[in-house]
Amino acid sequence: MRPRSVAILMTAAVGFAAFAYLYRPAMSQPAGFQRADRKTAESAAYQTVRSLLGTEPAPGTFVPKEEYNHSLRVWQHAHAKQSIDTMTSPLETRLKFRDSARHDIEVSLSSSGRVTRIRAERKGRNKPAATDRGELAQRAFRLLAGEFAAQFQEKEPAGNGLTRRWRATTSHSSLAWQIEVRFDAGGFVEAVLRPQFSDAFREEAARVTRGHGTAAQVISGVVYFAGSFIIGTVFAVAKLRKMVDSGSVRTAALLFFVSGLIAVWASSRTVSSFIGVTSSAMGFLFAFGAGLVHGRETEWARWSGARLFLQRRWLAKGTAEPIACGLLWSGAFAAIPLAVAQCGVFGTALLDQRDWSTDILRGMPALAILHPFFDPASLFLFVGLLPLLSARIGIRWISLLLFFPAAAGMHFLNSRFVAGLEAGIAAAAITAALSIVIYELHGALGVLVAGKGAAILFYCATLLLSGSAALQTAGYVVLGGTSILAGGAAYFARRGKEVEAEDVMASRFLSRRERLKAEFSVAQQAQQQLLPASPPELPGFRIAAACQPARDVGGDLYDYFQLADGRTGLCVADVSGKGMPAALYMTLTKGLLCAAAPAEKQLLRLAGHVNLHLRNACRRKMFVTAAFAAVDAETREVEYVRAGHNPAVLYEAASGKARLLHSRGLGLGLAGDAVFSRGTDAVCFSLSTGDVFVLYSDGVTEAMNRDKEQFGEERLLDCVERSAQSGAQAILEDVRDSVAAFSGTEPVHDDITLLVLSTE
Amino acid sequence: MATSFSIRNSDAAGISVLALEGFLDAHTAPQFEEAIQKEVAAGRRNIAVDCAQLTYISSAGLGVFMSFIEEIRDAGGDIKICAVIPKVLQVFEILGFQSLFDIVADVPAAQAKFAAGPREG
Repeated sequence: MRPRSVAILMTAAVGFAAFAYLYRPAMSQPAGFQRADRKTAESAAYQTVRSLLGTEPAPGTFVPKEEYNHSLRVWQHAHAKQSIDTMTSPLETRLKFRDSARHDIEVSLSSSGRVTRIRAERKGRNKPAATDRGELAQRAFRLLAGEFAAQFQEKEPAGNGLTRRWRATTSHSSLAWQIEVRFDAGGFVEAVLRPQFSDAFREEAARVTRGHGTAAQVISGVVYFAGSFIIGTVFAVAKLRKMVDSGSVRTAALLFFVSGLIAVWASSRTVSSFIGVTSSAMGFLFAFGAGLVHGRETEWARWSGARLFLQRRWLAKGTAEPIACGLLWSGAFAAIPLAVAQCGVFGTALLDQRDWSTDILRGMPALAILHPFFDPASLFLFVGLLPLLSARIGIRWISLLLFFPAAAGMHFLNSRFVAGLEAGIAAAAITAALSIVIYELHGALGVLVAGKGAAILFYCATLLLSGSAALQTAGYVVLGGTSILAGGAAYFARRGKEVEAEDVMASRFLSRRERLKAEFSVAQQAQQQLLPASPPELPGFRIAAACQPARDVGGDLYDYFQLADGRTGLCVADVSGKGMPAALYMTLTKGLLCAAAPAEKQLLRLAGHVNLHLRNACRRKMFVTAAFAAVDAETREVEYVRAGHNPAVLYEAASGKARLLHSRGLGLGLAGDAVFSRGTDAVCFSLSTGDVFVLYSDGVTEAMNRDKEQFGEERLLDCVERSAQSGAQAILEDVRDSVAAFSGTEPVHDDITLLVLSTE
Repeated sequence: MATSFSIRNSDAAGISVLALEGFLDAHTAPQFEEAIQKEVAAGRRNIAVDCAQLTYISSAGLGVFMSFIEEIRDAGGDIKICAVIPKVLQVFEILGFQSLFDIVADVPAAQAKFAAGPREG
């Protein structure tokens, strides 16, 4: 096993141990809280109904239902000091039955056996008399308040006088107990004992209050959704279609749809949960899109797992490894807020791990799996801010350092606190630091999975310690399922196929620049292959040629060809303009030359042929300058046509001088056949032993040095004279080296092409 | 490469004069192209290009002359090239421009050429 694997496993073990150690005392039932067994619950419910409404319950219509108030549990851990602070336990059992007066009655009991709610729904017209109202309210109040009745104070009755409220403030201001008894015109409706959270718990308290809570959730859900949508749109939508392959979009859409369905199934009470999950899924989708757009340069490698995941390469090593490692990290992740809460320095505080519902239902863990522990907003930071920083700053650890406060701030805003600002900041900072570490080690998918793992762990621990058999079973199922997932991921992390996300759709994800670069390199190779590999065998002559493009692709060309009369043709051509268009016309010129040469005996007619076709094929702006030579190896006669090109260099050994071969000639593609023939001459001369003939492009003579001085024709002639005796290849190299030495570090702006013919 | 290029527009007895100054290369050629395009669009077909201040011309610059000449000549006009400095003239000559264009000493000479009637060939 590699040291890295050992380190990760050790960290995971420490993390899980810490979580288990810290969660148990935090969440286990305080002394005196016993779960009411069914018989006790039933008899307590009967008793209550009998004494309150004076009716007899009809047996055999019990529908037990268990719900868990997670916020209450969290609050109790943080504050439970005196008995009134812990009036009820978070686990609630509900019983539904019908009494002799044909009321549908629902009674809720906390696990300590205290009745917390009595609700009556009348079927017939047989109602408790309205005059009983005051006495009935008092009776209900005493029933619910029990031994703490003295600590409650009655508040002003509500406007219509049908609702009466009592309130008791506990030793901590963040919780107040409230008893409410409601009537309608027909008589008694409901008596309920409920916690009223304040301060940081206001949001949860609002949710406890039915109706208002739903509205608040719907509004926050809509705001959240709109926020995700707007940010996501700005970041991603414009480029999403180009950047993401349709398979990934389909997968994301499918996950989003399934999560929505499960949310509806698991929490059918409110649509807000659906909106919450929907917005999360949408946010994730957009965040991912943003990641593809923004993360491609610097964060590319860290998104490979996430990309593979969306490509449904779930069994690949690249997907399994971050999932396995993320799950291993989740223990440490979940332990952080608990550890901070345990730290006396910060007082009592606890992060409530982002569950959006106050009651844990049996389907809740399913929601936990779907709900990203890291909200999309956090992911936006990882995919938007971090790449931006690292692109601007360049040094990774500095950008991570600058990124840290933003990540911590996001965690802080995403957390709900029981109390203690300092504790909240500390927990958020540590969580952010750990998330950055996980991101660096295992990428975006690792962070996402670690967060989810932590959420699942929290929910499962809560369920296992709830004291309800049904909830415990749900907890075990989810924990077991997650363990199987972790095991499978670990297996495939070691044995899975090595698949690179780039293999699947590299071209889609490459940036425009990278893509162009790749295309250019292909074009460059193709173009280099168009140039002749070796010069033709010409007895008594030596030929050397080279072309050095200034950019990836060039507009220069040299070529050899055979004329119909057996003479060997040489050519150097230069297409006007630069880059890809020039390269394309260069290819065309080569093709025309190849096609026409074997049928032509006259060099001028060959040039005219190429001219005509180029003129017909090209836009008027485009033209080609070329120098042609036809060499008769036997007679050493050379025919030379200068079609608008730089004049060739002729070195005559007899005089030891090199000169330029000026002759009349028009560029190819500039004019029609008549004007071209009239304006272009063919020049003939014969070569003697030791003579040198050089064709070149203007890249040679126009090469500039730092003082913007051109290499020029004089230097070229000097160069040829100097090395004329040493043969074609040496002359070519000498000229090329001289040009390179002359321009020094100045950038080369034009292709440099040389073709040297020397006689032996 | 930072290059400076400018075009001055004037009218000399019914002939549009485009005086070029500086470097005419791939970067500045579109400016020149646009200037000629404007003249053509306005129906001014007798154009003299004054190259007295033109210090450099690249193949892209030469291409601009070529891209309009046919259209202008078909419409009965012409482009005359005036007052070219030797270095630039060499470039024109290497390409064979003297066979395609009237290259004259100055703007008045161009006016005289225009007055003399359409170019042969």
